[in-house]
Amino acid sequence: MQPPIDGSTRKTFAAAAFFLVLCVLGLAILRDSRLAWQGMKMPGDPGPFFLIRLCLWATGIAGAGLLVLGVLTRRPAPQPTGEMVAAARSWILSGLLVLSLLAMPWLMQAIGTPQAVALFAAPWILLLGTISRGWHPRLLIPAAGFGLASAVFVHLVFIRLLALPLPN
Amino acid sequence: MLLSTFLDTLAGFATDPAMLGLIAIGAVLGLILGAVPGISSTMALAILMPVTFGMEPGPAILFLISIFMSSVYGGSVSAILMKLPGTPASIFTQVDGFPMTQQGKAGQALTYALVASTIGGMIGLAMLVVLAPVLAGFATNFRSPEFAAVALFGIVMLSFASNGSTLVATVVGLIGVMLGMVGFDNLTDAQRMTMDVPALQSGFNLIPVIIGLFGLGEILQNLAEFRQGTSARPSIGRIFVPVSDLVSRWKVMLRGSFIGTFIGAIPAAGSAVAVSIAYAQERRLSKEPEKFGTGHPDGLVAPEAANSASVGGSLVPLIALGVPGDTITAVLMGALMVHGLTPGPLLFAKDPTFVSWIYASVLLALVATLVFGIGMIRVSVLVTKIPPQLMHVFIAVFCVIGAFAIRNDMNDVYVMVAFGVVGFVFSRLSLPVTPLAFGLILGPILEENLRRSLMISRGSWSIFLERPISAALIAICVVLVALPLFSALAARLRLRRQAAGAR
Repeated sequence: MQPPIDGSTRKTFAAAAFFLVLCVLGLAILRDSRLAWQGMKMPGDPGPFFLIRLCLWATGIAGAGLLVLGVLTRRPAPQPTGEMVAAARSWILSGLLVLSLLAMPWLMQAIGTPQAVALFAAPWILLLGTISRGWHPRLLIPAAGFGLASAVFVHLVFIRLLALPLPN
Repeated sequence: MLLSTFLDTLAGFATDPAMLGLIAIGAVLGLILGAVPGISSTMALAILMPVTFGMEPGPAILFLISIFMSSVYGGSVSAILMKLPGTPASIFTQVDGFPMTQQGKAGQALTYALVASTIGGMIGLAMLVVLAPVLAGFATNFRSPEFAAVALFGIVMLSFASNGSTLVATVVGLIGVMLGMVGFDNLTDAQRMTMDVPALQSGFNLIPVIIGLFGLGEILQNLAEFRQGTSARPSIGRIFVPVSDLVSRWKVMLRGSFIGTFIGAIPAAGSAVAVSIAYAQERRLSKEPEKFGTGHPDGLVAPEAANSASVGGSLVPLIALGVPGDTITAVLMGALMVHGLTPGPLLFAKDPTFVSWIYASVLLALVATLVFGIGMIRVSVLVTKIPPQLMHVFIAVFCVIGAFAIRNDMNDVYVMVAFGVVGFVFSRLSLPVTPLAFGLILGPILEENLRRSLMISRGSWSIFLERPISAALIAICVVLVALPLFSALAARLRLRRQAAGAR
């Protein structure tokens, strides 16, 4: 018998933990919502929290089931090879993108959408270009060019042509 | 009588250069707008509706339906090339379409999608013409118990729609159902899991969620694997698919089209439910289900045919009952009313010309979409030649603007980013993402109708078994869930018997 997720014990335990944490957190948040609610429900109505609670309990039970399956199908852990460290390092770029995207709404409102897009795009092109081909001052030209082109594209297509009310 | 009126109208439209010009402009605009992530068919119609205000009703209908039909296929272009589904109905298009792009088969994926979309649309139209009164009667029999049963059926089918463990897919679908219920409860005004955050009170908007889960999630995944020398791009390869290959998939197209038409005809069920059921059904019937999700053409053809056929289906309640089946047909109905045309039950008797305008417009729009779609495939696949670093940044910008554009709310950008992280984490843990998105669509439908049904029956669950359609759907759900369990049990018994025989 194999671990149910991708044949990997590590992923099965991770998914089990995720489901269990989601269940516990969800039930705690739901409890707050239930306590805050003062309304009445109609006769026969199982209530506004019935189905959510059912889903959360099902998630928790599935998490517990996966945990049991993970233990039953556990394989000997491989010797540490620094894989985890490499994986964590590989997440740095993704984390940077998330942070820069979270800053985008603020930037769009502060300096306008086309400018924010240019300010977002140019450094990213430079960074990715540097990673893939190594640093060279010549990389600044395509980065600036792409930043400018994307700003012009957003302005012409989304703001002028489609008239979307983007911060401008 | 209707058939002769339809043929006359069709001939009138097809021989008038001005009408042909309008169809062409509508089809090209619909294709382009549909392909822009964040611009849904509904938005495309709403943006271009004012253009028709000065037109006569006939040309206006033709133009609007051209935009509508072509934007349905246009939504699949960004899903296939960039893994950015512009509409909930294109979620399943990217599941097999994007892997084909990664394998250098973007042109073929677009061809499969275009042909399936056209065939699905034609079958949907044929069924609309022939079965409109019957389907309308079928659709009017749907009340809360039936809607709840359809949603449950969709959730059960979701478990079979993804690779890997069925249990895990079901649980992820249930998490989606739960997320779909976050926010204000329409029936009691209760706030559910909002944590006093005002942005959560109206719940999660679907488009930012799917843009995040699929579009941004993929970019984050690609960046995690971004290394020195990452500049390899898939070759464009062969663009078109041999006709014999397309013909060999006629059963898949037919099944998808029938599912699309019937589900599309149910008001509020929508094309998203139709495509999920069509995909899951095709995967169940396939001889190679394990290849679904890795670029299997059938996994692309079935949902595309269902998506396009559901347009014909969704026009049934609009034309026969005057009830729009979804938001797109609601916008279309608004546009028709602007031109003094009110769809409804008396339409077939009172104004057959209007009905034949719609039928002829749908047919010509499908032909125009096919012609211009083929023409645009060669241009569209060039997107795959853009260097990955430019593409990642380009898609990230599209994700932000697409998420914002839906309701001009910056909070949707944060929602999109959050679900992008969820999509990334799910893909690292090998958890399927698609059931999450569909749970989010089906959850509110299931909850609202389940509770309404129980209120009608004063809490008695037997209401679901007393009505034939809901009872049949629940029985199918039970069989679908029980069948794999019985098969596994039977296989284990067989193995045990064989082992005993060997001893």
